[in-house]
Amino acid sequence: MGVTKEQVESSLTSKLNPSHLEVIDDSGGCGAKFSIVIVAEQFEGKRLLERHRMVNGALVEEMKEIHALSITKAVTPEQWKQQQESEKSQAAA
Amino acid sequence: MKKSGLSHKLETNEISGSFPKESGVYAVYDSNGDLQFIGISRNIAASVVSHKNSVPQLCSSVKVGVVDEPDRTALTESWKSWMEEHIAASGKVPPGNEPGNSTWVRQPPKKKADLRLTPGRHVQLTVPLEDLIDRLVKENKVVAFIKGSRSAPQCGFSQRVVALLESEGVDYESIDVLDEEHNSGLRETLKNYSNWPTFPQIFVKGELVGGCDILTSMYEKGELTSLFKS
Repeated sequence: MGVTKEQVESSLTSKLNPSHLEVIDDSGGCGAKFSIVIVAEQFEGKRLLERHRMVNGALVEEMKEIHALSITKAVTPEQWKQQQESEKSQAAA
Repeated sequence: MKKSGLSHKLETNEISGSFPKESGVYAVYDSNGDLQFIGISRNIAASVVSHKNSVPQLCSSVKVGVVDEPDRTALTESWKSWMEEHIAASGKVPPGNEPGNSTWVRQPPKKKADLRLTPGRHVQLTVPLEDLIDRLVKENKVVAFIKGSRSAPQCGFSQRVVALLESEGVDYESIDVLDEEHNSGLRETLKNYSNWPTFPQIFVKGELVGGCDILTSMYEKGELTSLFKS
């Protein structure tokens, strides 16, 4: 028993309407451990704690099966763009 | 032997960035320019900062020598040659290196005991558990609810949080949410209290800061120090 990557993605997509979403199944297939990078407009003006609450809230059903959820990034499209650019410039340097 | 003659002036708050994080040997001088201590470190920058914090009056400037292939022998050899050089020049051992002087040697931090909500399972709480949690997080500046004890955390996330708190030198209280004997019912009650589904949970001044991900991310952005200082 467990949750699939697709279930996690679809719940997050329908509830938070992310502009970018990466769900990685770290469990080796048993569906109990995920890490998430999520970029959403809705995070604007929210503290990190609130953002994580929103993600946890969106996954409230799935969390019953998930043992370990790691929210690697929860950022706004603006922040995401900045981070991508700074990574790119670091890679170029 | 490699010995850099660079002498960095210690500046408050800025020292961490200006010293190498590598292994090596370092010498600390007081404001009169007298050598106080020669030390070996696996992370020179961290050692210098901790000296600066514990004995600021004796730390005025520091000379560092990074050891390129820092096995134990190379480090010890390097340290010995600095000591010998100083003894040859001044005729004495640096005061901090004299036997019995514990000014510079990091005392093993005393591990606090984990807090317990009750003395045992048989004891009935006279107040609702929720009230107890509320008091606990408000009366203690930093409280970490973790899985396992602080000396032996039972999950990777709790372990990481304990390591972060320790590396920041935070004086915190810890509570083992898996301890059903003393903290029976805490897990479920705390999830409701904080409206947060997972552990660890870190509270500062009565407010949930978050779990492992949030602490890690604040650490990476350099926000942790100010969080615990304020």
